[in-house]
Amino acid sequence: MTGVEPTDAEPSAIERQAQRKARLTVFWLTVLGVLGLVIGLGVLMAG
Amino acid sequence: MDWRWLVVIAITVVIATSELVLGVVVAVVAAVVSVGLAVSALQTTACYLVPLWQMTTGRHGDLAPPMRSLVIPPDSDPAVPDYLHGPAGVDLAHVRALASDRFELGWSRWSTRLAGWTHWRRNDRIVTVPLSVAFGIGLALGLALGVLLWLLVWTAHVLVVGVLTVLWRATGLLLRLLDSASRQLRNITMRCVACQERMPYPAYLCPDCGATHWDIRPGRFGIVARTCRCGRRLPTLLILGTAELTARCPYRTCGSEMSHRPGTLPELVLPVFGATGAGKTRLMDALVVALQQRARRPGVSVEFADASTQERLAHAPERLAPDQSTAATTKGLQRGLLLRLDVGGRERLVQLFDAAGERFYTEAGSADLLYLGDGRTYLFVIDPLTIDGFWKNLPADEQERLSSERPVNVPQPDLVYLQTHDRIVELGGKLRRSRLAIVFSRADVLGPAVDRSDPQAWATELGLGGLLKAARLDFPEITLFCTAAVIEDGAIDPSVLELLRWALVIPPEIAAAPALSPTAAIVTPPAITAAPQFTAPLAIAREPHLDLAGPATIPEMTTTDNHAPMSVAKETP
Repeated sequence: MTGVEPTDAEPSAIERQAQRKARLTVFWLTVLGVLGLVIGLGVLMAG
Repeated sequence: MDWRWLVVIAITVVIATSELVLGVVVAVVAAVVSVGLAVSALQTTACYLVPLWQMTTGRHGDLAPPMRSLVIPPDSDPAVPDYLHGPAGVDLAHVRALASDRFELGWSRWSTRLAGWTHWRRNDRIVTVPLSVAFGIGLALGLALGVLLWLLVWTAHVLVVGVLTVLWRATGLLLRLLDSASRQLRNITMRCVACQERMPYPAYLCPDCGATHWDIRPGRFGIVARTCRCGRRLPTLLILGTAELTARCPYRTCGSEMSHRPGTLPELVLPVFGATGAGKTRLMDALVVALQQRARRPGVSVEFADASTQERLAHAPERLAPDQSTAATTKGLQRGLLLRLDVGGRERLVQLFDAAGERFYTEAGSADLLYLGDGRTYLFVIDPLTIDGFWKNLPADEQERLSSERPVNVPQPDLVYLQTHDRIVELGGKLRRSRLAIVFSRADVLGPAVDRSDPQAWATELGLGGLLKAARLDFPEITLFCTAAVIEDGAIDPSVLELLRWALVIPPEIAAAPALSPTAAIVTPPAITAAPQFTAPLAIAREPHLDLAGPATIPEMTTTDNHAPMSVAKETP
């Protein structure tokens, strides 16, 4: 099955294109997550 | 002025100047510390965010290659891995590694700069050393804040990838469950008619590059859709549209193409068994021709579901002429016949399976007749000439007339039945929910020697009482038929129509409806030059369709366009 092993293989252009939306989704959700964590921690500390 | 006042003024000026200088010094140091703190915090955070953005947008030319990458086994499907089934984890590790590298590089640069600013040979070190110390303090304080922010971003990244992965995989599982439930509710099973194996899911061909996706269902190559290596997007489930693709048997040893769109209709498996020369193949031909005739009534339609069936049955009507004999079926595994049948709005995919009679004599012979386990209606064909009791009771002149017709070295029907029964049970066949037709063939040849009025009593007279008794114990419903699989004056023998009506459970109102044509018509399918192929992405080629409301005469048709619906001459009003 699919494993993760050391390799120098680079994703192909089709792979990058196919995964682009998912990567962008993960990035922006991460940014939102950071903001959420900062706000959450701020609220906790203020409380 | 008194000198004392001068001293006081001087002291005051010195003190005031010192405080001012001190204030200035403190302010400068504080500013330098703040700048160091801000620079450190921002740089540490950027160490993570910049590679993450570069990975996201694909602008990663200057990034080190990932230390880990997905390893796809060479025999996997030719598709791009789903981002949340591996690549996201690789990116996570890659970004973390890149962030660490950037962090180390950034700090080594600051160390070098600070060492340069505080070098003992510098003439201005009286200024640069305190400022560097202040900046270093700021960097150190900023490092603590930066690491906190770094951890915050990394935690958010891990959480997002983890939660999305769980949700995405759960979506895939849910979709698979919905797809299975949809097929379960519609009583749809799928079987390869070439290797006769029941298949969990068909394999599909990419319409663009023709590559085979052996397991297209939601998984590591995509949930709602997957991307073929050629870049083509493909649906992953029947409920999402895979039926529009060309299907293949998912067992790689078989891999036969299936153009009948498996999984779209419930399958009705009709296993036909019997001894060598019993007339199984001829009966199947006759049933199909009878079905074509029956389809001339309102509420019934039938079409060949694949090119192989069409090719195989193209000349069935000619083969059913009284003076024509049917060639013996070869011992190899026979491809099943597929018919798409619509009776009263209820669509089904009828699968007719035939096999050489020798296969039903031994356990080994029927070992690969896997369809036997999936039947709900079985047709047991018996040639009365092979029954010793029948043959011995024939008058001498009849024996002489029929001696050339009588199959030799054929076991008695009891043995064939018992052997096949055992095989059905071994294959998990549910006999108590099935029906059996015992079909005595060759009524046309045997003439008055066959008692068509009461086949059951006649079979008992012939010495088949034991067989009937055993069959009654096995099956809840048994019906006996005497059939003549012949066409005379363009019409199939009514005995075959009767068997057909019973086998396909055609409602009486439809069976009794008047035909659309005054006489029965046999529709000859067009010649096949090649199996239908897809010509446009996600566009299924239309199967040759039997327009069974056609003419009452046998039309002569040839066509080379496999994509066009089969046409027949229209009935004259």
